[in-house]
Amino acid sequence: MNIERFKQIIDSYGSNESVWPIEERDAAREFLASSPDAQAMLRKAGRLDELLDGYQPQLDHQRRSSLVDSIVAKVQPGSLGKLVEWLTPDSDAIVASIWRPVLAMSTPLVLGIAIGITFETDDYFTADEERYLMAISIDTAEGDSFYE
Amino acid sequence: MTDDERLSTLLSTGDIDAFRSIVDQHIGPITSYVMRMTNQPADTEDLVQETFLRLWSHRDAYDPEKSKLTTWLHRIAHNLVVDFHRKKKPETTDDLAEIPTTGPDREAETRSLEHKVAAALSSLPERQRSAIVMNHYQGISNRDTAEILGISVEALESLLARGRRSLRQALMSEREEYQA
Repeated sequence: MNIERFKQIIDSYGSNESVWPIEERDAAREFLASSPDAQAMLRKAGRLDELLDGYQPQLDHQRRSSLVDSIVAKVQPGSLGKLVEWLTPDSDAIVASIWRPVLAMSTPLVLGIAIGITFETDDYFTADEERYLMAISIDTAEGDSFYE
Repeated sequence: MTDDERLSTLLSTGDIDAFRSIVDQHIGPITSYVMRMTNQPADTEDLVQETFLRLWSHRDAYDPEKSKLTTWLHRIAHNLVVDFHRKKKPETTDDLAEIPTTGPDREAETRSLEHKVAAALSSLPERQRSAIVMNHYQGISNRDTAEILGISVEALESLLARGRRSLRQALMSEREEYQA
């Protein structure tokens, strides 16, 4: 460390040792202890740092809390998002690698059941009714061929 | 495992509680950084919010072995501030008068000093201002600051020295300089 490099450090980083380059910090401290010129430079830089430190903008506690809440609320999923999240876990790669193909393959089955339930009607025949209808249709068919 | 590593591991799994801890822990420094860079309280809250939302949406990209969480967040905030300045009209001195302080009972002299410092910082070119705010106020190391700004440590020292020289000229009278 020499006076030129010490001056560069002070001119750039000011009097706060904690922001001096870490690899030169100890050498700069030692140099400072032995050099009155270095000490004068440090005092001059310290006066500016003192002025700069007078400016400390910050949010008051209430605004800070509401900002934290609003940020966190924005990333929280809604009900549908929670369902999707539950169906498609990303926390465990192994679980996800098995679960997702199973989910993909079973989707048509689930959709089929859902459609079947949705369009279900009461228009069905009992076994006797079906036999009766079949008998009529056979008679009709035979009758048709007789007249041909 | 460091605190950054623990929280980022939880964050990568989408852990909301870990995210809240990170926001709670870093919102103060990030707000101070953005406020000093913009001097716009309303815009500051939007930019701070966007900083943390970007952390959330890019949580898989963060590697705690490569950089500290605070450096990562400052990098996001810095990029947002640069975009903000690009789009925003130039500041007026009226905007500076709105800078919130820590409480309503602050002395008029303190307010005046804060106003002067804020105005002096605002008058610096953006890169000098970023360098000084990150290094002096945020306590970010020279290497991390240089990395965020995408410059060498030597170039950073040059920016810092020019910035501090301008601030000294703006804030200290000749007599004060002589006394110092």
